[in-house]
Amino acid sequence: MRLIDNYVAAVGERLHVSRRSAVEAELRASILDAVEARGASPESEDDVVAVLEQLGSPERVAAEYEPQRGFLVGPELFPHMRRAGTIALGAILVGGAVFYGLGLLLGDLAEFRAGTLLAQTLGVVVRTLIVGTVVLVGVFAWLQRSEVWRPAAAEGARWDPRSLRGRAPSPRAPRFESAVTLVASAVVLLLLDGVGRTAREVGSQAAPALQALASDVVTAAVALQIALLLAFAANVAVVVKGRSFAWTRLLRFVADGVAVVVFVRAPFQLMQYRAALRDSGASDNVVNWLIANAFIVGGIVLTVVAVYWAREWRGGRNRVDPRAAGADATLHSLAMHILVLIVAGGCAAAPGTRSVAEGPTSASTAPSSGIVSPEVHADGRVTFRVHAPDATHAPKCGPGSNRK
Amino acid sequence: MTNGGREVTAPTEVIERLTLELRRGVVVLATLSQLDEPSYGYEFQQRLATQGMEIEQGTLYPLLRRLQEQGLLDEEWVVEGSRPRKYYRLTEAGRHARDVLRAQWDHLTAVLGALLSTTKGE
Repeated sequence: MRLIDNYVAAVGERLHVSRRSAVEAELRASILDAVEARGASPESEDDVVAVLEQLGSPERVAAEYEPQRGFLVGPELFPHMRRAGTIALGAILVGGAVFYGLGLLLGDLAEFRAGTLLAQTLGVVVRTLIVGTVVLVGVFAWLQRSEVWRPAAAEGARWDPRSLRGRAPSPRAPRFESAVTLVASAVVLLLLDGVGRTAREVGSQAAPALQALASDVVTAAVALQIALLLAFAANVAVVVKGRSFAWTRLLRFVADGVAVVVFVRAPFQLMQYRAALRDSGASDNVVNWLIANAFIVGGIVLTVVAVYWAREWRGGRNRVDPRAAGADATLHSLAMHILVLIVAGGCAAAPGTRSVAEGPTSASTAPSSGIVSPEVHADGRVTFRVHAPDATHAPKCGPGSNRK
Repeated sequence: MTNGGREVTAPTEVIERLTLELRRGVVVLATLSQLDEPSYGYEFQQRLATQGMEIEQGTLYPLLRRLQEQGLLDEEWVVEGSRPRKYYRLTEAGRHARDVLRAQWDHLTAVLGALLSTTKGE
């Protein structure tokens, strides 16, 4: 029975999702009929192997089911292209990680540049992926149309049904929800990009004590963008294939891990900058409000992720309805997106954020002291005011005055 | 066949491919001709085989599905014992298609019979 399941799954995964389950059902019924006609049971491996060999390789049968589709790369060659693509993807990601690691080690560590370096690395990786994909698809499309190489399966050569890898039935995920999640990902990515840019801009003008905080915000935004891209890739696969796979779950797991680290660290980082925030003019109430909210958000993120993965771990062992897992994954993904959206939106729209970050060096109104400086009067006089509650004297210097 | 005393034969794989293409054209008519009564995949394949029309299962099952998607066949799942089976049967459109194809077949066999009778080399 395991061989039949593997075979049906191998054919099904090569078919368009709209007809997959119907074809899988009728193929399974036909295989069982053929096994029964031999006077054997589905547990008899030799008989099942004989029937499957007679049917033909999964690639060939899948191609028969969809002959009218204009394949760029047909079902016979597609598994080979996928294997080559997986190897190339691994090589590119490892290369990117090495590039990033060497850049950190050899770069000037005195200056904070991990975020910039990460952005550069991602840029290189994305460009390489695009070029690599075009080259890979081009090569296989040419092979598909040439007589240079034909896979053995296409020639009706013998194949071994026992060689099919066992696959647990993949959880089917609702495609609509995954598509909605993709849109949410795109929105949040744009918003995070805005947050990162604002933090960079504000950080360059901020008081020295707050520059480190701005750098941390940039790093957190970049980390969340990476997490979103990983979740984005997983959701694209779910939308295209109509089911989730081990690697899509792995991507979601990594993305969740990054989100948890970012959000759980945030309140502790804010506590480190408490003094700097106060010195920059933020009142105790504002600072405490920020820290308390960061703790709440961190707690919610941690709870959502922990509950989801605990259910996933338990469900993976004794799941009855695989569709439920897909729905869970999508709901969880949506919940995380909405949370990030709220936080990022809150950061971007928080009133006074910019002025607090810029601190007293700015020629604007300090929110806590109510000081206006400079003030231009109607008669042309200009008044400069300085907030210095601990000052004991105010020396004057300039043209016409004696320096004291 | 000889060319200058030298034996010339077409490559086996070319012959196999041409034969396959020739058969592909007739399996649709063969299938439509036998589905006035409902039948399920494996039983239908065996019925054709006993009449000398061997069609691989990996070719026949997808063909049945395609014909059903084109509206030429009706499908119905029937549970017999503990096993569900999918039965196919000709629709009205399927009968019409069969009649048209049959007329084409009769015409083609007549024309080809005449053409082949004038072929040299036999």
